[in-house]
Amino acid sequence: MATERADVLVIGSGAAGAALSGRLADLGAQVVCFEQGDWMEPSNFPTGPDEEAQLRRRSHSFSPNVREQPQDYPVSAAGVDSPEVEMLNAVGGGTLHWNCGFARFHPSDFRVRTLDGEADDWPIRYEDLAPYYELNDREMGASGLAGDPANADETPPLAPLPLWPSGRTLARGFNRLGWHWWPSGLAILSANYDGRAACNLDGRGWYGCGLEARSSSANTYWRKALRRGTRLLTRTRVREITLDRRARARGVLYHDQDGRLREYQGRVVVVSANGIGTARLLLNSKSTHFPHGLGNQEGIVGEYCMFHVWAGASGIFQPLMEGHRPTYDALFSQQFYETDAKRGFLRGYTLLVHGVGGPLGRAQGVPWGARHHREMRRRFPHTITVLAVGEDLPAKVNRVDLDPSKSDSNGIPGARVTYAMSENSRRMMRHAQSMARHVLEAAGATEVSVFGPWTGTSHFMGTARMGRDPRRSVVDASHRIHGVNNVFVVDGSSFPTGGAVGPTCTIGALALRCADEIWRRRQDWI
Amino acid sequence: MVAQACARLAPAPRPVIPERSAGLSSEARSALRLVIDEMIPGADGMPAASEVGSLEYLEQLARDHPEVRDELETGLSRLRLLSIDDVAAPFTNLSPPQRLQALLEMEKRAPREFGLLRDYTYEAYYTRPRVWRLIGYDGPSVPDEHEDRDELLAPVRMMPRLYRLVL
Repeated sequence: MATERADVLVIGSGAAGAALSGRLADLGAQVVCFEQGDWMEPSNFPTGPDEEAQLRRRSHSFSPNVREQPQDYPVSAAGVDSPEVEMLNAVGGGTLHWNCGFARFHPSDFRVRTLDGEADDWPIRYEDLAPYYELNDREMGASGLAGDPANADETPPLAPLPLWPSGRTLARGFNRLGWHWWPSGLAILSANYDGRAACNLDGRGWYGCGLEARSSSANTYWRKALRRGTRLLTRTRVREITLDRRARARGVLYHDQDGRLREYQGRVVVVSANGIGTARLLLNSKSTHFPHGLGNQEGIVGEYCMFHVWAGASGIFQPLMEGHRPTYDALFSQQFYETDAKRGFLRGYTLLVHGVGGPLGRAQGVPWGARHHREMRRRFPHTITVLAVGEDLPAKVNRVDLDPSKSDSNGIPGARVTYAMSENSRRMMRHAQSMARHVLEAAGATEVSVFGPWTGTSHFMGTARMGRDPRRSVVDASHRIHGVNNVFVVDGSSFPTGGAVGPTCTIGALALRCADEIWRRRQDWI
Repeated sequence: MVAQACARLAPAPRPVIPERSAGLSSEARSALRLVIDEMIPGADGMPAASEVGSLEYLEQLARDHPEVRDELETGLSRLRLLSIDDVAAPFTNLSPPQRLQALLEMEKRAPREFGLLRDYTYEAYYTRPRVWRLIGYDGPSVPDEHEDRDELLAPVRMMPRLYRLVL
């Protein structure tokens, strides 16, 4: 078997793998990244005014179980509330099909146990991550506005994107209630930046800004990392991490583009394959030292899986709202983010004033036949949607494990998700529905309907979590697997708790910090 | 030099080329034209589905995507069977009131197959540029809110700190 060598082997090219690879390349490490997917050609990407229709095709599905491409792996759902997960296996990973929300966690998110008596504290503080949040903002080209009273110290490099009529209308609603709101922090360019063109404000389609304006790991970190010599091996799937006799990583066994099994040796191995893929790889990496999977000596790899919970409300307004114009969440409210015991649940949620999408999406639920046009005209473009994303507290019973009945194109067992939504989450989402209705009515909606709750489908968190106690965590504060000196895990799986904002901003910041930790200890591996 | 080597290593992007199929049968095409105009008729100043090219859109879609053809054929064949069961005639031979009644029955008795026909009809209508122009789903626009964003934010800026400090 042919063997190659590098300083650092990174598995996964998404938000974490890209940021970490780019940072380590900057610092001088020789990095090789393995990505089971390929580069995604922009012309192949569903975008434009008929994007909603393109996304209905099997080949563009967000679900790997529907898409069933060779680079995908099956993810079965076993629990009562398990979601049909969405993920994309390509260079850039989940950052190729995301809302571009780029909000940071609050300082309290890192101290849930201390403040609220539930779950676990992170082994790091907000202040430890703050410089990396700033660096990540610059690398990704974040837009937003400083001075938000609900967030610590954000100073995004670019101005916020427009609010549009729908955002301005809801802003007045929030003001009437005396509630917080703020223009969203987004990984979408509001001005030309770093060689990429600003959002063209086309206002049609989820990706309606133009693909270059929407930041992804592919069009930010990877462009620079490749220029600095990082090697990115696409269409290669890592089968397992191999260990030497001292229980240190020796490298990885992977399938090359032709399916042949090969070995790559590395001084350090970093797993960044997302909260499902990372758990799957660790569980598939069985050895005499770790018969139940790498890092799984306490049996908690895959456990404490979190997804975020969602609910919301839609309001119909008589004036034109052009709710499709913001192809992003134009503003948010964190009036209900921090715990308030009087509400009947712990933790909280963010309200997002959400782009409602195009007419095809709005037509869902509109009756067919003679009344169709009248009803459609009432709804489009007169609708505004308020979405709530709520913190999903970790539970040991919610987990990712292997599904021996299904395997990927290389014969490696697939993943299985077992999940049930907690009563705390349900109470939180009922509150969120009520508050979403309240603000829509305060803004002038003539008809409001609520929806949800449902389990999120794309934020995979907690399955290899950070912590100081090896009995309750998989990796330490430096992201190093307890008991294995040269294997690191950084991505959504590292989160001990999930906050109530999209995880991508925090994943990128953690990866940058992890890269610095790896470099700081380089005397251990050079 | 390293970058050049990486560029060589990067494989050429592989476009997704859908498998092409034979498309809809002529019987299915005739039935589909009637179905889409029952679902989205010309009314209230808006054109019927067949007037904006929805049928042609679906025919092309069925040719490009075998799974779409299969789903349309499934829906249409269920509609045909229900029509024969109820009035002893295929859907294409029914009068306009009978067609409406047949679709209402299908919605009740075969909701999954009915949903396929309805969803494809909506897709074939709301992806037509002529419809976009009529409903206000048009191109780029220049927002005008910058002048009042600061005014709207003024009360929020006066709020006390909302996040909890952690020692």
